[in-house]
Amino acid sequence: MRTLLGLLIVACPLLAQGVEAQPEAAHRLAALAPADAVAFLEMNGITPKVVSVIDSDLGRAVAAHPIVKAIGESPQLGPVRLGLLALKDATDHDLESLTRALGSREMAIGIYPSRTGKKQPDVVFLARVDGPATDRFLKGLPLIVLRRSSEVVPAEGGRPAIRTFREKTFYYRDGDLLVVASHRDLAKHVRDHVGRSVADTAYYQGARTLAGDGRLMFGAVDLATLRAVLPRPKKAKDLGAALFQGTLSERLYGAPFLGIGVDLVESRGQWTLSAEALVPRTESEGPLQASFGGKLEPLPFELPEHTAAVLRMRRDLEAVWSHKDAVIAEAGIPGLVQLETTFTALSGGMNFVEEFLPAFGKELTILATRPVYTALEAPAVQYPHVALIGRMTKVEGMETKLTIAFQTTIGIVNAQRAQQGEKPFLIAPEIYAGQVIQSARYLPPDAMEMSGMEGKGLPVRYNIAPSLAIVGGHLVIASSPELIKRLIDGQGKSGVLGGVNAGLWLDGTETRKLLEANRDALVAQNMISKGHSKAEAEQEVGGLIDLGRFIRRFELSVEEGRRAHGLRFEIVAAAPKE
Amino acid sequence: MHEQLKPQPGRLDRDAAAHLWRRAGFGAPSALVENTMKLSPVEAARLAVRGPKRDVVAEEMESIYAIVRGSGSLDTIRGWLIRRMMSCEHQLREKMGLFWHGHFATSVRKVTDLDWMCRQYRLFLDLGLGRFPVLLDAVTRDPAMIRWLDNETNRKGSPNENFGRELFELFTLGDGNYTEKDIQEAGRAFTGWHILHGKFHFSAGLHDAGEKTVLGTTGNLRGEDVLKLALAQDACGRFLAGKLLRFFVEPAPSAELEAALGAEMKRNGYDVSATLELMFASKAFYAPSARRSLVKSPLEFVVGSTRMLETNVSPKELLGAFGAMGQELLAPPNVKGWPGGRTWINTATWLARINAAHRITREFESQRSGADACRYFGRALLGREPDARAQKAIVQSGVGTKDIVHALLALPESHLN
Repeated sequence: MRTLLGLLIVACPLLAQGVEAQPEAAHRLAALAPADAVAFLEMNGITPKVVSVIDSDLGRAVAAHPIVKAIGESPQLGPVRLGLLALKDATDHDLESLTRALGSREMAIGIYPSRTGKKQPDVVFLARVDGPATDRFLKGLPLIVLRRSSEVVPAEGGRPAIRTFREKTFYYRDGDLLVVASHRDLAKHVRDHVGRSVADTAYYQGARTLAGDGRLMFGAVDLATLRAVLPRPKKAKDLGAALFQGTLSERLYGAPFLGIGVDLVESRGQWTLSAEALVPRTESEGPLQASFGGKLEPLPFELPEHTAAVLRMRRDLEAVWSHKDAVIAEAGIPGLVQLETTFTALSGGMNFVEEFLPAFGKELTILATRPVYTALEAPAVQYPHVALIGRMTKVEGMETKLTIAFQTTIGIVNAQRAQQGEKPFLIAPEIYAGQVIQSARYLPPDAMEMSGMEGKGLPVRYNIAPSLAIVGGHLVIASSPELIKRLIDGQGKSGVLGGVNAGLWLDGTETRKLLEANRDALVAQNMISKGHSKAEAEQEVGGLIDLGRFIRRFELSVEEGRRAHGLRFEIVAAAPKE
Repeated sequence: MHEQLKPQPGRLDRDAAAHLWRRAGFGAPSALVENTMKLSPVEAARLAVRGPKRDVVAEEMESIYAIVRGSGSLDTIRGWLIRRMMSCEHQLREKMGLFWHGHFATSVRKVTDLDWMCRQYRLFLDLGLGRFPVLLDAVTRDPAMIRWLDNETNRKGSPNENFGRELFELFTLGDGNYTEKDIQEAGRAFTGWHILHGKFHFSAGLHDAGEKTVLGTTGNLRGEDVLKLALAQDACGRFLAGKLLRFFVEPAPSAELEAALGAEMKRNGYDVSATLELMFASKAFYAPSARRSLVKSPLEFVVGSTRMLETNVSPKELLGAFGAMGQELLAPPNVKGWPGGRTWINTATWLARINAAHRITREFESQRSGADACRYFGRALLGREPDARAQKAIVQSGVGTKDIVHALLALPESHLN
């Protein structure tokens, strides 16, 4: 059934050729679909957008890329190519003309609980189509799927007649409306307009209100119904995971419905694909939600040059700690107890829970930059420089205690490394712009270690020079003092990346350059993992890095509004400038 | 010359050619097996030992060695070594690397310095087919070995006997061919053999320059002298020959055969390649009782299966499986290395082998199917078609070629070498 329904969905825009797009009309299809759908997805005028992308510089550049071409010609896609040939036989359209014929108005897919008690849900597909083209396509279907004709038989009487294909797919056409369903009752329900429709349901109406009108794609999910079959979200396995995931999954699980909106817009050659998934905000937020909630202030630092990624989150660490049993799995609790006692010991007696956490603000930022080395100091494999930045509410007296914690930790690490015969850190504090930076570095490698490695870069440990400073009321722990210096330079300048609860921002160019700096290591990995020759590995790795040139920016954020909470995703792509 | 060391007459048949490549490598693709069938055992042994004129894959793997070394990743280094075993054309070089790694068993768990471990394995690859005395001398001065056997603490007035003990027991002579006194005195000879800045360093001030008696010779012996004395013993040739025979030929070679090959080895100056050429052409090597008499190590099973099936699996994906099967590269269980033989197989490791077989076949693709696939891949893996009963059971149990190949890999014969 899936094959046939998939073919119909792929082909449907073709069948709608010649019909003018009417955005906002898809919701009228919701008025035809039975009300018990657990999810309903509508698409309005999506095909002109696809054609625009294909016709753009970006589309042409992507299509011409060797990796994309190779994927298109791969043996794994053989069945798809055969299917397209069959489609051409049956409809006189190849892939290009099929794509260009995408002039459809509205399409919608509804997902329903199985009518036969099976695990697999039932599906109904509705679309406004071109009648004659549809008939031609439907007539050719048995030839495409089964390589023989006369498999379509009447399934239900009445007008229009519902026909079936192998008793697994049921469909009818009524003027410009094509309905395809995985169960006869669904097709019959739509045809006979029995009872309430999806458009009448509270979840659909609520989701529409949240997602707003004018979206390229709109989806509504009945979470209240799905909750009966979905498992409750598990607690996080440790503190890091708890901070990262926040209460998003809990909010999703507890919400009555989910609204989804997708847009694709072009501006000056840049294409932006964005998507939002929103749930309504509940009347009262519990203390747990509050400890993870709120909006981030803008980061009070200018982002250092070559910033590749920033992850920010607003978390009340003290409150999260007090709710740790509610958010962290039992197995993760001993680790927290150890963290508490270890930190207290390392810092010369500063109590982690009673002194450190209350001094910590509610904002955490992890920032990664592309390191720039001179040829002599570059490690063979280059990790990004990373900084953990935490807003402090109380700085006074903390600097000394944190310095003690830093130096004690490095001392213990050195003792362990010495026992294992590994190279130690040299603790070497620096003063930069009047600011003390606690830092530890490895000594230069000895001649033996570098024998045979001339010109190949330093060992991997030279990526790490643990550093700590308090900069502008923020505790900064970094893998390089250079990164802290850049933050000192940029403190108090233009704030960025605020206004959301949590977010991840990726710079496509810097990320690509970071990969480029590790090209040799990636080639080596490719040769080892895939058994490729060096030439093959260089082609594949080079191609993938090159593909990264299309991605300008990527953002993922958790947002809080007065009416809704949501997850927002955005990716910006453009043809690379030569 | 011992009758069993004389060359096997005639030309190799398929089973013999497959046998040679499973032992003198990790197994061969069908084309190489077929090409070898045209050769005499002497010619085939020469080809296996000397390798191709140019091993392009090995050259390419060498070109990324610095990056692998600099990665600081144990998984990457292990992956690099396993990929070499899977792909390098001079298979015996890789096999001897593994042999010497087991012989001079050193573990990263104690040494802790990955770079040192990397450099030690390089010795096995670079010197493994040369003269044993050269390799022995290099290993004795190798930082990883010095750390592994605690020679850093071996100093005048407070000797550490570890190195001397393992030198005699595990590296050169074997049990019963030395005394406790020899060990103590050899320990003194190696005092001051230390490490400085990641390389061998002779600390003259910590060396015991007094008179010592080792293996019947008295004098102001230094470490180099002890190595020469050990190599001069007949027991050394016999011990090394026994190890080579048990690794490459049969699990329990006769004492006469060990002595005869040992004598040849000593006579040729411990030339490993010459000894192996002799061994791989011998009647003993091709004796029916020798075929499939060894249990494949996990590396032999996995690497060999991918080579014989001409399929590809990422070594890194199998690293966990090697742990479960009992063979982690750069981390042998103790100074004696992997005991091998029947100890490779128990209820836990067998299950791990079947799971590894599943991983090998997970993405396996072939145009062949049914009985044809069973026969073809049976020949590739076993050197001959499975018997009729096994064929019937395999074809009936398998719904696709992947299942058939998986069932072939689960046959006991697939785990025998």
